Amino acid sequence: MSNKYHLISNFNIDPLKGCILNFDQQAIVSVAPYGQVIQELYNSDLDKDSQIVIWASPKSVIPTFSEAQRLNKVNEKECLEEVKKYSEAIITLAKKHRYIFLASWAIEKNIKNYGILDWRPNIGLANKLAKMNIYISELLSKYENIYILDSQYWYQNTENVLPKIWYATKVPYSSVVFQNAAENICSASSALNGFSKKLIILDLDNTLWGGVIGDLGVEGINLGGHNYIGEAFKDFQETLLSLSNRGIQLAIVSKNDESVALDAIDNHNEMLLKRNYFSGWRINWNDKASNIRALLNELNLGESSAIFIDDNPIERDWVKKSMPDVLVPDWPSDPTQYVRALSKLNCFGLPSLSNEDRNRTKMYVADRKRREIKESTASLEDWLLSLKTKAIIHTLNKNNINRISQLFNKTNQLNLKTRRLSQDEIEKWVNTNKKKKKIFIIEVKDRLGDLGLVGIITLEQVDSVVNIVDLILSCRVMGRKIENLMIWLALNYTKKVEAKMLRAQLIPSKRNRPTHDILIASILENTGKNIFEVSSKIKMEPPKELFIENKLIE
Amino acid sequence: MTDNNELYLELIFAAIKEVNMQQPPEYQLKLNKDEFLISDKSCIDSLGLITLLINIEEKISNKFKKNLNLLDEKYISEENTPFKTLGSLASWLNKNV
Repeated sequence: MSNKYHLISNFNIDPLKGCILNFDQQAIVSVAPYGQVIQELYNSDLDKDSQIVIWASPKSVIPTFSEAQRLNKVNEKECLEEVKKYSEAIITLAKKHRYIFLASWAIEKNIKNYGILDWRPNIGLANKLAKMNIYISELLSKYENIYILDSQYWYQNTENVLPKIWYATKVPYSSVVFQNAAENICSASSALNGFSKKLIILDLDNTLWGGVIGDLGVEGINLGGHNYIGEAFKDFQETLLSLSNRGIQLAIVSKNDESVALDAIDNHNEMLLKRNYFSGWRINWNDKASNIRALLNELNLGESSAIFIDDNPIERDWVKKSMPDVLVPDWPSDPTQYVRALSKLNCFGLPSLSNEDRNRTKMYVADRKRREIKESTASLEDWLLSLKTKAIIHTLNKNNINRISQLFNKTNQLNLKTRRLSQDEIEKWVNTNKKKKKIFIIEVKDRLGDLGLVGIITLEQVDSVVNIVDLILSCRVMGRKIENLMIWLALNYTKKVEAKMLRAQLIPSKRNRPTHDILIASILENTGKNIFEVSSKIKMEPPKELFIENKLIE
Repeated sequence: MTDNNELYLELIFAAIKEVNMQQPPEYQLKLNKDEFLISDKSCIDSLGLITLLINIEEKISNKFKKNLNLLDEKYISEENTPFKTLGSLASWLNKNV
């Protein structure tokens, strides 16, 4: 399905349309009539499927600020009162649309300000505008489908538009500004639709450090220290570390002797990315595409979730050709450009930040330890039993809805219908015809750590059939019998409401083939056309490998 | 003369590259001297055309210290425009700068 965008602005915003279409040629972009910001916010005829982009200068929507920009003394309270009214109009619009992207206000480079007094409270425009930005962000913060995009980044290091272009066309910014904005908007939309990258696979030599470890040894590689190249490598590691702290996984694929490379990772004084920051690695002399494939398989991630970074163009080319869905960016040869190249990728958008995201690295390191135990254990059952896995069943509540919405919008592989729902839409769905619906949320813990909320199953009874509406499971617990538990919960509910049949209809997507495989392996029978059914008379036991704790309040 | 035409063509192409960044794919001009500019066969829209001509004026001003007004009605009205193609615009610049 094409992304739809509707652009609202007080200036000629057509160049943004062009830039969005250059990023996403399938997109459908409409532009509101010139200068009609407030009228458009109250326009009830807008296409409900459109994502709304609002980019309006502060003086066009806040009359008191317009006065302030003429350097008249204004009442700040009045100014903030107008900000509140403006936010109310945005909220009204947000109730009818899935996502609103609002450009933060930025001060124009202009002679019409107070110069060195511009940050003085009660005088300066910069000070006033900062307060307005903070106030509107607080007013809109509880609406989880409204995102304020920081427009300061769009203007950074760009040239002013030629004055003649502004007067002749009412386009106030250069192409680069519109391009930055389009990149930001498309990346935000992509993240909200579950297409952010989840894993960065890194080479080692001349990627994470300077030089070849096999030749130079731990002491010989260039990392940190007192030279600019070493500092650039260390800075690159620090940036990767920040991404890891917000849930992006890191892994290594490198042609090296494993023991030598791990020795550097563990023991080099300046190495920031120690072993525990990596979800997995393949350090050997095999070809890199095969190693990446094996690594993705181990981490239960699809090719399109991954980025591969390598300084060597031949290795990049091979991976690009062998695995077209893995993003393989062209990489600068100069290490001082690495951080910039990484930030230019713009594919790590984050629609929300849950505790699961913050602890993701810990979780995946625990996963790696689980796999190591698996390899040393004789059977799958023994391995699962040895993990002492506890599955806690919850219902939907205010504390978990953020994570639930995230699972709806990020999960691709184990997702029955790939329904993308916002928090409001989830609540609305659950509360409509409530008596006929059920939602189970699964949290998983084991002796190695807390895996967090990982699964959702929603059910709806229609006459004598209980339909599985959503079956969503994070890929990191795939194969841990949680999927069996979910089917068991669904069947139990079917029996409880005295329905005759449990049914699941799979809507295939490019990426949810694993869901099909799970349904095939379950007690449900494939009746064709992606419909799976089982009679409620069938007996099923909960998976014996799990300790189940029910926290549902009936 | 031809060599200078090439020089102006390069300058026009540089301006087109900048404008194409903000043009939807179907409105982007190709870097070809036979590409139509002011003509019913041209693919560029009016915003793109105005932006392009102002960018060219700016480049001429920076390079040759000569100020032009390419938006003058006598140049951009379709009937007798000297800017029918990128090549004819380059020739016009060659004669008038």
